[in-house]
Amino acid sequence: MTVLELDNVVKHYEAGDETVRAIDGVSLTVEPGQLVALYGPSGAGKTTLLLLAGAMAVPDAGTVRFDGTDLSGMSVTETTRFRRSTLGFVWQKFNLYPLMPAIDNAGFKLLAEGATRRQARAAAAPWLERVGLSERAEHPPERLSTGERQRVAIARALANGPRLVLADEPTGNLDTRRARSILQLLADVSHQDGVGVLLVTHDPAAASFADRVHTLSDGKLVTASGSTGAEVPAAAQRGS
Amino acid sequence: MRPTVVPWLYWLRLRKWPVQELLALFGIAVGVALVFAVQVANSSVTGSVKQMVHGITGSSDYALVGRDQNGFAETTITQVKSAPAVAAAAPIILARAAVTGPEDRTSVALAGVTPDFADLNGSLVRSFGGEYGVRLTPNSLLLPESMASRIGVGPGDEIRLDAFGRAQRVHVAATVGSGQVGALADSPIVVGSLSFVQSLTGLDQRVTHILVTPRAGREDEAHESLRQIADDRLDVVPSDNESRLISQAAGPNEQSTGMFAAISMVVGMLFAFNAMLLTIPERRRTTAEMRTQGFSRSQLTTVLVFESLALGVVASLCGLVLGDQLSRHIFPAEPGYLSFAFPVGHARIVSAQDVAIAFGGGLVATLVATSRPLFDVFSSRSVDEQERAADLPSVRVAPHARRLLLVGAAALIAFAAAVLVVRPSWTHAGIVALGIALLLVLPSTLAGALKFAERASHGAGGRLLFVAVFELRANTTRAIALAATGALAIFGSVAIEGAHRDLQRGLDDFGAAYVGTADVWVSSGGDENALLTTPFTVPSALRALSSSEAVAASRFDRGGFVDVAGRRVWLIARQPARRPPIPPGEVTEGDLRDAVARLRDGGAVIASSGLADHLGVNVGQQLMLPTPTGTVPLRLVATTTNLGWSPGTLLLSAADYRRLWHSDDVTAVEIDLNPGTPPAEGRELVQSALAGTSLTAETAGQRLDRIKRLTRQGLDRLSQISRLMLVAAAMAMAAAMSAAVWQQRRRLAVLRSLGFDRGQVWRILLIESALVLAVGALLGAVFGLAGQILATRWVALTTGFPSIFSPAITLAGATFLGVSLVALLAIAAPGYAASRVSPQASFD
Repeated sequence: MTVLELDNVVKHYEAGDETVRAIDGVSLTVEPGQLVALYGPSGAGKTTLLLLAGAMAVPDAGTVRFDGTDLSGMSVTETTRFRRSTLGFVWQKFNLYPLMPAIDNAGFKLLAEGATRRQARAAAAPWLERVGLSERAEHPPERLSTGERQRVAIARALANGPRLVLADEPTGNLDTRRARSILQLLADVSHQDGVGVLLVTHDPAAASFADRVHTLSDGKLVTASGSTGAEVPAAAQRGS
Repeated sequence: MRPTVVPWLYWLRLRKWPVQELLALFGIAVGVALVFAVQVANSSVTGSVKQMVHGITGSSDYALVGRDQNGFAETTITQVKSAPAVAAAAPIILARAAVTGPEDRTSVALAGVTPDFADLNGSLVRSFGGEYGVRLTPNSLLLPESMASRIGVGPGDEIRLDAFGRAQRVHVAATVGSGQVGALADSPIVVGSLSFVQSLTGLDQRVTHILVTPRAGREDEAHESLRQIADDRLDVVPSDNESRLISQAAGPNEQSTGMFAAISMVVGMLFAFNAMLLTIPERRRTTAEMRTQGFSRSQLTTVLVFESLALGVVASLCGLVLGDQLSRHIFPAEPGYLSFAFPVGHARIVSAQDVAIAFGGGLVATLVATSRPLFDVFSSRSVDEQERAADLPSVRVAPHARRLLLVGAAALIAFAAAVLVVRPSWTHAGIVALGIALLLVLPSTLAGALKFAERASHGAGGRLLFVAVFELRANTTRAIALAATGALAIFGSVAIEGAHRDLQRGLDDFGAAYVGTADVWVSSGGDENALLTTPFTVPSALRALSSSEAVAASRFDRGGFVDVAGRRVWLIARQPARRPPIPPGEVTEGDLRDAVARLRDGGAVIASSGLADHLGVNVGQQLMLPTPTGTVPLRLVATTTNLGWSPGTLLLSAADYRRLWHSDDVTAVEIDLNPGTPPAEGRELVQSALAGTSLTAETAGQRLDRIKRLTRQGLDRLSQISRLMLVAAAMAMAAAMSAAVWQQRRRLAVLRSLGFDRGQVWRILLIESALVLAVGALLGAVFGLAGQILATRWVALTTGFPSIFSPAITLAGATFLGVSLVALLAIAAPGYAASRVSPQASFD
């Protein structure tokens, strides 16, 4: 079943006297094990799209479905539970806790589910190993490189076994070499563990790691392409 | 850069961070308000006397003053006026009295004056008999309007006047208002003709002062003439001597309350610092960006200093307004113990100095609290480094830095301990050292507490505690600043209130022992006579009571106030009794039994240690005592505390007093009742023997209650400061924590994105607040107890009052709990609101 489906979604904001259509009739899907990259210049609506996908904003028109369930009808408590159990987030600025060991950072979100610290660490350990940082498990972020910090953030996003990971410019603070390694990691996790990944990025290198690439401009999808790089008209996407 | 740019830049910042600026303003304003209110209260007490004295003495330079309340011969004025160097002279009786109207009773200075006062031009008495439009009738008095209104009388009404143990009905000729005598309309003085006042007081053909204006350029000659006339039986003093004496008497009290108000100012400064802390990253970033844009160091300094000064000026002005209200309604000028010896009024006097000190203190505090970005302006770091540094939260105080701070704290604590043992006169420096040590210890204590909390979070139910610990570690500086505010306030409060209770305990203990020597006391009554210094003639009926069945013994005490070396000293001369004249616990040097025996033999004196030090006399040496019969040497046989009278105390035998003062007047009669006679019954019996007089009989218990009430009047100021500081600290912490919570919104949004629900986020915030509060409050309470030792010692040294130290553990515990709970409750609502942050904000 399609993990995430946006169907003709519209979202607008009031900015002073103007109404800005941040998302203007966008439709896209993310399948399990698929990495979808979303390009666009600043102000194109990428982050808004991510917020809609993460049930942090409600569309003004259209639907957002997760595993077939419409997210817009959920209460605050339900959306919290939804995020806790089925989503993972990766931010550009990592949002790790300073001074907290990497393994505790990685298992952090499991505390929200009621896990003890010991249980959270145990659950996070394999993911930390998966991202190649098991030997630095007790290191706080201050003693990790930027690339390593992002790896810890990815481990955190995966620690609860999510169905979908939403990544907002995860390589924005990284140099080219580290950025590529992060993208590779996300792609590997997506393909090997069947996790859907929706990646918002400016990084052109993402195209070679993504299964599908969308370009957003002024709230509209202007192009979509498969991993081969061939253009896939946006209109053709609505049917899938 | 044009000058108009500077305020415009500040206006932009104000619009962005109004809450933080308001918090900082509030903190500084509270500190300024406390300092100002205490200053006004202190200076009003002494200022009212100074105002009144100046209103009487006018242009006179010198005064010839009697050495006791009975004054000296009026004919002395002839000698004074005949001195070639004397331009003008005026005799006056100034006596302690009390007036009673339908609504109230108040102690006053009773002034008997002559038309000679017109030559002295004192604003209160220059128009005597003339300009007011009123001629004083022979049997009437002039009252200030505010006093007349307070006791409920007006022109033509009758009042009861109590003076020298005599009660009489007197007419009010007129009242004078501010339109006639300015601020003196609030002075506690009643004026009559000299002859009338002589008859009221029984001082026939006697005066207490002669005020003298010398001829220009012949002041020394005039002084020498007066000295010869005085012939060591009278004192020649500056005409404003009363002002100097009350300044000396009030000094210790003012010092102690002033010190504690200063602690409040520091708490206010910390409050402002907390608020500023919330905007420091943004301000540092702005500073770095402006440097990038090409603003020079001097331009940036101008901008930053303007912002500080603007905040400081507005905050200090607000503080003055708030302090004005505090001084009117919460810190009114209470005469307290000073009214025993001085005619202290209720006037509220605000001097330019009071305003300047409070305002200046507020400006300095603001500059210190907001100075952080200035370091960046003069830093050698590159702009890029500064911008990045501004974005990093202040995560930790490095372990080696914490160790250094601990070493510093240990050194300061050692200094405070050494001061206590070796150099008690530096005790106030010890208190300051202890306060600084508290701040230095805080980072390590907080780090230790967080480590302990982290370990505790391993168990079941500790996950939210775990999150709270790391939230606090994510911004250690802010946590330290918050904890420091509470810690310092509680430290100050526990130390001040603990010292207050120790002093009160000492005074109560002394009072109980002192009045416990008799079952019933007879005196002229009145709060102003609490030290039993008003002389009276013993009625024959009272003497006859000695042979009644109920009375075992009567003793006639003498004493009063005597001015010695610039101090108004309490002189006690008690007749020998079974019990010693003072409690043994009050003796600081010498053996009491031996000293009392020597007093009985004559030629000896016991002095308070502060007075003895001031006079440079040790036990065994001679102390020169000015008396109406001349200055006499007396051997100092022991020293004591000052028995609750800060200028100092002297004890003589009653026989020596009679001999040296040539007076049979007594100031109190102590009556021992036979076993089986209840004190109340004994009191009634004695009172019946006093019929027709204005004398009062009190049981020992009644007298003690009155003394306790009066001593509390002055010392209660310390409690008020302590409580206000706590309230301000609790509000400061709550407000700063609320603002900090709001600033944490992005981090809270991350928590929400990661799946923490609102309830969990709220509980995390409460746990964070509780941790910070607990560390700060606990540390403050512990240091407060140590501070109490120093504060009690310092106040006892400064005031000379007896004190009994008892660790205020219950107080410290209650303060710790109270402040923590209040602040926690106050943050519950903003925390709840902040926990409802949308996860969207994590993407901002």
